[in-house]
Amino acid sequence: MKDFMRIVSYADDKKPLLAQAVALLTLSVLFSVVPFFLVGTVLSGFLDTKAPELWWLLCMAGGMLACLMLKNFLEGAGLDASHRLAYHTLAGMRRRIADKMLKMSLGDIQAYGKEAVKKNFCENIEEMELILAHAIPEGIANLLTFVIVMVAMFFVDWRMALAGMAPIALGLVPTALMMIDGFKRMGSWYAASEAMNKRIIEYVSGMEVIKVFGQQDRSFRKYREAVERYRDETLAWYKAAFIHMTSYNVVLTAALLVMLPVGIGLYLGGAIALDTLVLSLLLGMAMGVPAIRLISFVPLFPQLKYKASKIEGMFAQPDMPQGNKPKPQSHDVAFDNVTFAYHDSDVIKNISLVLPENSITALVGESGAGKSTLAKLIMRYWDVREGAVKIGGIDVREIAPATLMGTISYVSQDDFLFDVSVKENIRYGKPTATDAEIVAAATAAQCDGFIQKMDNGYDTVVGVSGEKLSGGQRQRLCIARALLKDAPVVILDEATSFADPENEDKIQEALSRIVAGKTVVIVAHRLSTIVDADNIVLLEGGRAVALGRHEELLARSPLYQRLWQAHRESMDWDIGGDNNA
Amino acid sequence: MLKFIARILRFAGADAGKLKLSALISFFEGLVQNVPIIVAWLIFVKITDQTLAEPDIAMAFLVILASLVLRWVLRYAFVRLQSDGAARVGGRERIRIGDLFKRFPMSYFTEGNIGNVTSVITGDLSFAEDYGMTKLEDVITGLVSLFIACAFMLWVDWRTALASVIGCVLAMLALQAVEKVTKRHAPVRQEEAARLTGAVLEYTEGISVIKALNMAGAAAKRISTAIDDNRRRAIDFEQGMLRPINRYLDCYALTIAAVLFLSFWQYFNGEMSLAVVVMVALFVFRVYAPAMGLVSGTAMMRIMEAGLDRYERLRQVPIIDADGKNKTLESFDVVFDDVTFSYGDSETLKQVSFTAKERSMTALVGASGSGKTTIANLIVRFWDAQEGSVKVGGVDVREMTCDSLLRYTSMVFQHVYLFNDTIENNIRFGSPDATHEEIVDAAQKARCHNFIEALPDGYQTMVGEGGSTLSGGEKQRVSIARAILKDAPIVLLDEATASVDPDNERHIQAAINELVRDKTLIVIAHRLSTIRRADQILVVDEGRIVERGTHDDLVALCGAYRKLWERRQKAKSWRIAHKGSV
Repeated sequence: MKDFMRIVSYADDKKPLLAQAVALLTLSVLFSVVPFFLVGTVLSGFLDTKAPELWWLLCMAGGMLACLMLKNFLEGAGLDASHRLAYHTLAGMRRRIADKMLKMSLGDIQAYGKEAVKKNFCENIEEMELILAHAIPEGIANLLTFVIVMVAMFFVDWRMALAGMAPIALGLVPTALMMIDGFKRMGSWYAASEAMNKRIIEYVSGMEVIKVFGQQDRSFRKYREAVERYRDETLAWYKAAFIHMTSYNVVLTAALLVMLPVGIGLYLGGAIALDTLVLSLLLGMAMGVPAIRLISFVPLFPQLKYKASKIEGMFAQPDMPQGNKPKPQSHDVAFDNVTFAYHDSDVIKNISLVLPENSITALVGESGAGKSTLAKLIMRYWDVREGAVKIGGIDVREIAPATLMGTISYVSQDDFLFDVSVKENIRYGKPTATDAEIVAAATAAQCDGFIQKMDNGYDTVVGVSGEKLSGGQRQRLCIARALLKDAPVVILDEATSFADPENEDKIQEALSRIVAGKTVVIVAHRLSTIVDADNIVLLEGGRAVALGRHEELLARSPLYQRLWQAHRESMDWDIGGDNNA
Repeated sequence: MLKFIARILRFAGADAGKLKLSALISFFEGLVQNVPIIVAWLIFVKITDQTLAEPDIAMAFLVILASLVLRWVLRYAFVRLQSDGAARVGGRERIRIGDLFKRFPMSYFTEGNIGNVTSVITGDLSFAEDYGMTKLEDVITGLVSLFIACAFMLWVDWRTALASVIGCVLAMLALQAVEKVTKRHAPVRQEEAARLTGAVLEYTEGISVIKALNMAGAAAKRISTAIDDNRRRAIDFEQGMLRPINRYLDCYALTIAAVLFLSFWQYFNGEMSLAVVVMVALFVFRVYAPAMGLVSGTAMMRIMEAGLDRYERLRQVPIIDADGKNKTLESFDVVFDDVTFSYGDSETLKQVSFTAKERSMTALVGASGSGKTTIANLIVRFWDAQEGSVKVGGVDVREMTCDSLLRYTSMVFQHVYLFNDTIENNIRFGSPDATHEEIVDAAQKARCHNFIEALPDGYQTMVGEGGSTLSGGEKQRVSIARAILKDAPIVLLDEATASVDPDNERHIQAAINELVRDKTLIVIAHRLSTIRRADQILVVDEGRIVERGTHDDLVALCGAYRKLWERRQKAKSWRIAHKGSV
């Protein structure tokens, strides 16, 4: 119940809907019980010496109809309130996830996993929807029915009430057995289910490879085994549960088994009136169905808790601390004794560097040397463990995040476009930009040509993630956006390993425009592109091991010589050539 | 409702008989369920006759107990027949579709389709498996209860029976109205769900850009609009259902009140005994409960039907090589003879003819979208040419099954898929009978032996979900080792493969050179410098081969290739600097 209340609290200001729902459903149950009493009244009227009149019977029947219709109406209103509560709760959780992503650092989001975030947003919440929006409202209704009918029974005749309780108590035995068995089996069943789903995904995603290597039969055998194991696991569980399920289904609706004999006994002993007897039986028979339905809701509570905890695990991730210092006045970037680790082992070790304004600094090194990590520390993708990264002398952690982001343009190979028009995508770089400025940026980034050729020119919508464009076109649009943003610090991360080799020259042209007059950091793989850089930082194992211009490094650093040599070779690669050449 | 039953029966296939039997059992169980009420009636007859006595206590108890035992047996049989069936049918269908996948065309397994297919087998099928039978049970017991209600009333008195029948008919009409609302809302909701997923995708994929461009406000608004729209639609749907559902339930309220009034009235007129009135009262409040429950399942049934529709569409994917035969090839030259091919409306290849001789290298060059990848895909029957023919070793590929054709080809493309298995087994995929030594040899050739040895468990290291523990370049090299082990005589290569991981470019290049040695090689080339050794270069433009020859021939020709070559040379010497491009 505590967990349930916590989950419902995501509905924020709609939380009072819970009280409303419970009130309406309680009323509806009360009205569903009243007709039983009316039947009792009619029967006692019949047994009375003075026979009732027809209009009175009509009134009683009319009263029943009114009560039942009122019950339907109130039940509908109650379910409506609880549905609204449920959907507001789900929407509240979704909004919390969206909000949380803005507060987390990009590094933490990456570590948490974008797939996991998407799963939280969609699948995990959708699974909760089934429980929260459908099972819970109906569960509340059934619980209330059960309780209210029971109270009414005791109110009518406590002995008959006890007799009516007997099958319910008896029915708890198979219910408990089923649940105990269920908890025991749940683990291996879930394992089989997960294993099967994994196998299915692997089978389908790997089908291309499977076909190419002619491994259909072997792979299909594995697939089949996983499917069969899940089926057998399910069947075994069902088989064990059938007996219990059958038992409680039969026992819980067997109110008359005890009530009728007890009633006869009481009646024979003159201890109960005929109308009271009938009324008790009516109430007793109304308890079974809600009891059965209630049982089906019990296992949903741990499920709800489990699913919510998966999502709430994300809320427990740390927020990125926010600074509030104003915009730096100058834009040199300084690494001041910076050490950084993702987990335990440091990936950046004691790096101190100054990147002056209006200069190009290239970060080079073998894969895993820490080039990309170092560049991303400037934009607080993560925060450093020791030391500080400063822009214009101010620690990036002390600058308000929005201000910091306004200071930096980050261009990578897989930048993202939104499913809006070309024009809007570019305008995101500078919301106040005029159309003329946008066209100018697009032209400078070598996009104007292909944009003009599109169906609606600048108003063409680019599709999900820019799917209607080629990799190179996407990249040039992102550069146009950055050009428009005109931030004083520019980071180019893998931007020169081109998504669209056929149009490499155009991307290069666009990149040349963006770096003019900026503090530029470039993570470089193709060394030939950075031979003119003002400063090259050679990284090895997280340390800056050499520093200087291309010619200087080539003269003094054996590691740089090796990298240069390897680069030259790969540029001269001939397919089908000799590897030792 | 009936359509749903038919749908589930069709899905159940061979198990449909069991389901029909279970419906019959359900009917009998419904009958037996009313035995206690009949006992109550007998007791009340005795009460009004004043013949009730002590032994009746035991009689009532024993008869009801016997009815419960019988009910237990029937119920058990019912539950078993149905739930068992669900798991069996689910398993059977998964195996059946898995078997079909083996023969689906290669072109089917694209990024987008893979997602759809897995969601159908893991999602839609499981949903039908988990809830299909419960809902079927609800429908059956609901309908049975209505039938029993009317039959029972008829046994009691024709007037109450008439009221009951009229009530049931009205209820069924009201139920149709409910279904109509569900049907109308279903596509809207689906659309809304898709829109939300789209917004979520954009938000999560774009989060770094959102932060970088200070779009927090705008992006948050976009996603929260999507979330709120989704919520509003969901609530609208539930509210739209409210009135039709109420109307449906009111039909029963009316029926119950009418039946009771008619009974009272007849007692008043002396046409019905008090015992019967009591029995009717006990009966009438309970009997409609399962039928009332019918209404809560309509939305779920709609979801299920949609899921089963998707599943059935999946099963009807045409098989490309249905007429193909398993052929053994003797030679491995590739010949395109006047091939024209299009998908959709636009023609993507026009009258393409060329011969790639055995053990020679053919390079395809052209702008992106020119058709060079399509040429490679036609060789392995991703699709079939509409006109002309593609021949491998003198045999038209359309005469071969895809499997037998693929036996002779290796493909090295940018997208790599590794299995969630050890590295050794991933490489062994290329040749299941390979020894450990052969695998190490292939790994050495593919330049992955060193990094594999450096891993904690060496060749026994598990490759994570989809190969996530290895870098892009490492995965690429493992996949090349796999292809080296397979040693197929024809190799299709996308040259961009070498550039997926610039830090490791050199290693991948070396691995590729090991793979392509002495093969019939078709390269989709981007960086022209890599194909100087090609025996022939085909320049593709808008689906046509516009130039052909060796590198030197084509440079000398001063045509399209020359222009491309010059552009590439310029790009190759580019250096980033503040002064702008060179």
